[in-house]
Amino acid sequence: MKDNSVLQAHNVLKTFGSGHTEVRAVDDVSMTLEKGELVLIMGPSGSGKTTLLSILGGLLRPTAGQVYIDGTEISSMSESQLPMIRARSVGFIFQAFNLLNALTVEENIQFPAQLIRGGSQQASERAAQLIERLGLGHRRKALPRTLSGGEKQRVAIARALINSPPLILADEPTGNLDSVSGQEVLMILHDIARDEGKSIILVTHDPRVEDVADRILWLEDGALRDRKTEQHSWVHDPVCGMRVDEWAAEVATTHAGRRYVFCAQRCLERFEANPQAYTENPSAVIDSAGHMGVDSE
Amino acid sequence: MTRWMLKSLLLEPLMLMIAIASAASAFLLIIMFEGIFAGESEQIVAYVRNVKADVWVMQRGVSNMHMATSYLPDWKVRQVQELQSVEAVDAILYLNTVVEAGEHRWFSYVVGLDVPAAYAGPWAMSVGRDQPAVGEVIVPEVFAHMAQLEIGSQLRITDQEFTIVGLSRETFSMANSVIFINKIDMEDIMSSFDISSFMLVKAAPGVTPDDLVETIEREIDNVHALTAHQFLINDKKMAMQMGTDTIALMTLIGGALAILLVAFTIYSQVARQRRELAVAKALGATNRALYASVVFQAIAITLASVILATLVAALLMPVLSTLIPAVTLRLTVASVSKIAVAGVFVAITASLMPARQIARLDPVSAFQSGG
Repeated sequence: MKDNSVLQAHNVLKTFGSGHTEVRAVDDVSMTLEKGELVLIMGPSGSGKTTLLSILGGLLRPTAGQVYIDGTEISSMSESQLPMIRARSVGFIFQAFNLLNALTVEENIQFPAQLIRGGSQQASERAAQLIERLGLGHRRKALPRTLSGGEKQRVAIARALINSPPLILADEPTGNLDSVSGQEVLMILHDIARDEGKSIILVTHDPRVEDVADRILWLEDGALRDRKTEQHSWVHDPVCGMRVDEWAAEVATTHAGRRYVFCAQRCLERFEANPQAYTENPSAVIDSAGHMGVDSE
Repeated sequence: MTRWMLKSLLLEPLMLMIAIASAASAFLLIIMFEGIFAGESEQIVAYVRNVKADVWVMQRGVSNMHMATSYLPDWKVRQVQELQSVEAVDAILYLNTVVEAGEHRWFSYVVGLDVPAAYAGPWAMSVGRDQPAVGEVIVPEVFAHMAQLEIGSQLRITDQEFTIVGLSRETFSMANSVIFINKIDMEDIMSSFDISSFMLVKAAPGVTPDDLVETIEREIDNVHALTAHQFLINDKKMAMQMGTDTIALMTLIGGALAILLVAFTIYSQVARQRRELAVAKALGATNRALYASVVFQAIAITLASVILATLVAALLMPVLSTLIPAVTLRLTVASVSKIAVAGVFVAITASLMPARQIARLDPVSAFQSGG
């Protein structure tokens, strides 16, 4: 293990079923997460994102491979050892917030502290700090049903941080939030990684998150790819203006020595019918060498 | 965890109240069974408990009154009367038999009194005389009320007719009422003369019951003497033994009902909380901690049910005793303690089924909307 790595996964494999019904939900995934790093895992639905996240967080045992958190191999641990690892070393943030309905904001935040020996003693002070930091001071005694979506997710973030785990796993944390609240949550997560040195893995479909991520990993059919290292992956379809993944785009054409990519065949057909109408927008083009125009993302 | 579980229960007060009321009804059933048993057990020994004897003397080998037969020749009664340690002796001739009044029949203690009896007769009268002459009978007031009898009415004991001359109180029991007739009539019924069943002896001043027992057994051949206290214990023990099986069965049925109701409540509670329990598991809660929390919920519901059932029973029993005088109910500390112990058993047993649910909870389900 590298000295600075918080999480390492080696050749992680997870299969469900057997024989001809076997499905490789996670297929030979290896990755390393450094201290203070915020990494996105993106991919289509059913690509195995949640399964991978569950394995990394010690919720699910891999069929093969090893997972290390802070130098401790968790993939070989017994069922009775894993809860303590989850409570001490991993903070979970869920799309559906998953707050405990009967408990107040303060009690929800302190809940994981009660799961570790001696955790309750410092929990009040730490909870108070987190409540202030996340702007929940006026909602301290509120029950979850009275909170807005953004407030609920801030409570969930505070809950994930109460035991000061080195690793935070967030599953679609902005999925149930409006754009303002979502942006707010993203900035909080970014700050946590930057200021507190927490390592964060964020599973999301939200393209706004890319701006705050150190790396983007693309998961498809259970296999992982690093996308941030590939330059100029996003462009706009010159016809409809939709964002198109240049790396994944299958519909493309070359016009006047430049390469154009499209979201669908229909847009390509419209483009070919009147290319001049669309070639005045430089943001939509990639030159024949594969380089983006000035508005590339 | 405990606070979470307790607050989870309180989050749905209506469901909680229904759960507590359901379990309380089962516990109330048990308390009522126990109350009837305790009341009837007390009432079966009402005669022994209330007559003012210091020592009971009976045939050797006999040690209680309930369902027992004892014969003592009257000359032994006179021997006891002559002892210096003795202040007075009331001898009774006693028979367990059926008393008939119209279509009503009661199994009764029929006590033949050697009139005038100083203290062996009825200890509390509602109306009429407490000393029956030949051909006369004193019956319990409740008995008379149920059979629509009054002073002057006739009833039958074996093949003899008797006229009611007094109605006594505290002498009725569903199992065994106490009827008083003259000893001469009892000798006729039993076709046995110059005998008694028991001697009810009062000690002379300064003589303790224990000393008197020792004196009687030393001075009088072939008799058994017991202090009134010991005699009461023996009689109660015998009476309790005879009803224990029935009450145990009733308690078992009530207990099983309580287990089912509490188990169903806890099972439903765990089912409703399934997602939250999975979240707690994902956050690091162990199966053991979650199970302990569920047991805590079960104990909380059971305890509340036991308390509610006890309070309702305490309020209900005096009302029932007034409305149905034939039934004697007693709410005793022993009964409540027994219910509380049964409650702990109920709670733990009721938690076994949800324990399986908890063990099989998949923490990954916390990521319900994941890809």
